[in-house]
Amino acid sequence: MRPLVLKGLLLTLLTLGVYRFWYQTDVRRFLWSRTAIEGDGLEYTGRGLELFLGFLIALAVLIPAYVIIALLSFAGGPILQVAAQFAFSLAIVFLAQYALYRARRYRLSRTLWRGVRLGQTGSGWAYAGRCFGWGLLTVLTLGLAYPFMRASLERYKMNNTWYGDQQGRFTATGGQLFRQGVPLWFLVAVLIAVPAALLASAAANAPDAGRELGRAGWLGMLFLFAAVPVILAVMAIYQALEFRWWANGVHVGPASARCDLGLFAFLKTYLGYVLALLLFSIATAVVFAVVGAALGGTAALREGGAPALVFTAIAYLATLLGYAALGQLYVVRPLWKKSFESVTLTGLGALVAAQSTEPPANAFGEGVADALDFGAGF
Amino acid sequence: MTTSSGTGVFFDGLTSRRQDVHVSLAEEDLAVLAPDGRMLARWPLGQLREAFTTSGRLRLTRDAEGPPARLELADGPLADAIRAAAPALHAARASERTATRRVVLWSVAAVVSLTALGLFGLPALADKVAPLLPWSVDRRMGEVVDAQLRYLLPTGQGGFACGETATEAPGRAALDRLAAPLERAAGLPVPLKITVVRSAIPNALALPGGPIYLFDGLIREARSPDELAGVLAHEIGHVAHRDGARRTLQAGGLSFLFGFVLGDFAGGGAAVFVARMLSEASYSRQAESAADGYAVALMRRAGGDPAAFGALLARLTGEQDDDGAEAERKRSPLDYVASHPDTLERKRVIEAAAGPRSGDAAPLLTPAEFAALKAVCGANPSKDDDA
Ligand SMILES: [Zn+2]
Repeated sequence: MRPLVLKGLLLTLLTLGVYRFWYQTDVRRFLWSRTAIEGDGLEYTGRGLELFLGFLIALAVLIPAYVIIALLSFAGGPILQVAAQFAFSLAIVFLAQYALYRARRYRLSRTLWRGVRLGQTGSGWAYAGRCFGWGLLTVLTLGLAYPFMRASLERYKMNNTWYGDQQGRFTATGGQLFRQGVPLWFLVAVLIAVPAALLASAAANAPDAGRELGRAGWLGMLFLFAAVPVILAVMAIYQALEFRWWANGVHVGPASARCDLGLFAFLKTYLGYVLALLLFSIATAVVFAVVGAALGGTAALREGGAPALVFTAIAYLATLLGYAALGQLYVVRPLWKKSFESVTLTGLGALVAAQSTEPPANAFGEGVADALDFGAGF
Repeated sequence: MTTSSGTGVFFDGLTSRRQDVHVSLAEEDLAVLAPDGRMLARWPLGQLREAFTTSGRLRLTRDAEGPPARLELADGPLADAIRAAAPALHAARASERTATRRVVLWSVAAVVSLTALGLFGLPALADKVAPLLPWSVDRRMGEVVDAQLRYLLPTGQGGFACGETATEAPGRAALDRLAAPLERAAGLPVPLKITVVRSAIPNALALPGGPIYLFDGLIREARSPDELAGVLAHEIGHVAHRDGARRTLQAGGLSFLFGFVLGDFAGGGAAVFVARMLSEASYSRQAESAADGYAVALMRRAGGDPAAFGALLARLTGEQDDDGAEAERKRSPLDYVASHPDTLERKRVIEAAAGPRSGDAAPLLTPAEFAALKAVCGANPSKDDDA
């Protein structure tokens, strides 16, 4: 996969991002093909050009909207400006959910297994509405409603998922996820509440703008720094837990999935990624320091001008390329692999699907998601 | 041509049934037969295409309308024979490669033309549009920049602006006296609003719509009232030419062009950054020399020494020998001088435009007033709070 990723990212940089649609297509084709179910691999039949056209159509819709909103907020006073900004952000989140649902439909209808396409019915707007309502409730309940939101959304998605004429189902419940996840929620709540309380008490004892932190303040800061990596680790564990919960609830026709993913499986992947990231950062820092020194010393670069600019641009682009490649090779690919290898499918013998009459979907949703920087990933 | 045959797996694209089949390659087509000899499919060799797989097997499909049937063959003599016999097997892959090359070429061309548009088209457009805007739009832009500056700029203790307390008021009064003849001579359509910023950075800048920021660091650097008047005249030049609005329009257009159209993913952000730096640098040079020219003319009309500003500029960049070391130390990326290149050249141009000075002109402020102005931010140099 390495040549594919490096070539794709390099061309993406060279074309200032335009090649990304073809790169994404290559990555998907590779990942799909490596996913074999009962010996037969999936096939991704999407094409880069479709994604590109979807993006262009999305731009044709979004750019006029952007311009109108910018002009409106500019013409109005400061209050209207703030209100417009707020409404605009909400609209973007809403639109992004719609787009993600439509993008899923595109990906499913471009997935072929044993000569039969997958597909998705249902409405993107209805899905976005559910997301919005549940999201609000999740915020109001400090995340406690989140498992029920996940269950509701997955039910909607899976009930509208088809393998040919075989309908999907989702049987896992929000209650199950809640029971499994609530200890982690409490852990995170403590990790946030303790330093917050310490810092608050420090601020209350030293009213003059917190110039002197005091013992409680320092303790709070220390706790906060220690808590951040722990919270990140908890999130990785939760991600594995949620995937296991999800996979165990998935059915298509008579077939069902069983998943025995270890809770620390994803965390290990992320730790490997962090290590790779660290090594890469040290290596690039050394390389650029050496190259910069060879180019006439940092003083000459600091003067500004074209050479410094070119050097900075190249360094920036090379670093960007490296980080993107590491993300693809050390996160996306292994997570995908671990997820699939942890799943066994039962009842496949009885799963005989007839080709659906539904035509394959267009890539409008992918385009909108991409334009809003809510990209659906690989 | 030899015919060849073997076994394979067939999916007919109608149902998901996996069928073990017998495959036979003939002169014109490929026949797919069920174990009982029934003909399942007959694909003309010209329509055969290879589908993507990493399994190492040959995965065939047919380039025609109809269900997405697939035929899989193990690697071996039969697969080789089909590869040799089917002329367009890799046609899909080849056309894809051509398409990729075309995409890359076209987008490089697009990048080049967008860059040209950003470097030449947008400044020209901004030049045309900025004078047409009502001043109220400039002022609104200025308010936004002002809020950002007040938030971002590290300033010393005692508030953002100097000259507001009783001890600092005489300095403020002196500044107003210095600015009054300039404002009269300039005849701007908006009132002049000068703020002294409590910051040790030697800088001055004009926001869209008229407000001028004069930094304490620059006031302390000045050796005569005429030097400071020259700075003010230069900034008034930016206001009169509406450079602030122009720059805001240009920057907004650039962000829109690169950031939105190309997407911020990998490269878009870098492109915005580079294009912005390049265009601001090339744009400044023009705007700066125009503002310098304006400053010379304005100073002459206001009765000051037009050449004093050039001397201050040269001293700031340390390109003059007397206290070069000190000036060097004060340099930072935020500096006044950073976006004002070729200082010595500018000084020469200013002096040439100013001409010989008639020796009997009175300075713009009395020594006492100038001393008060130098202390407008208190007697001690302001230190950046958290710098
Ligand atoms: Zn200037």
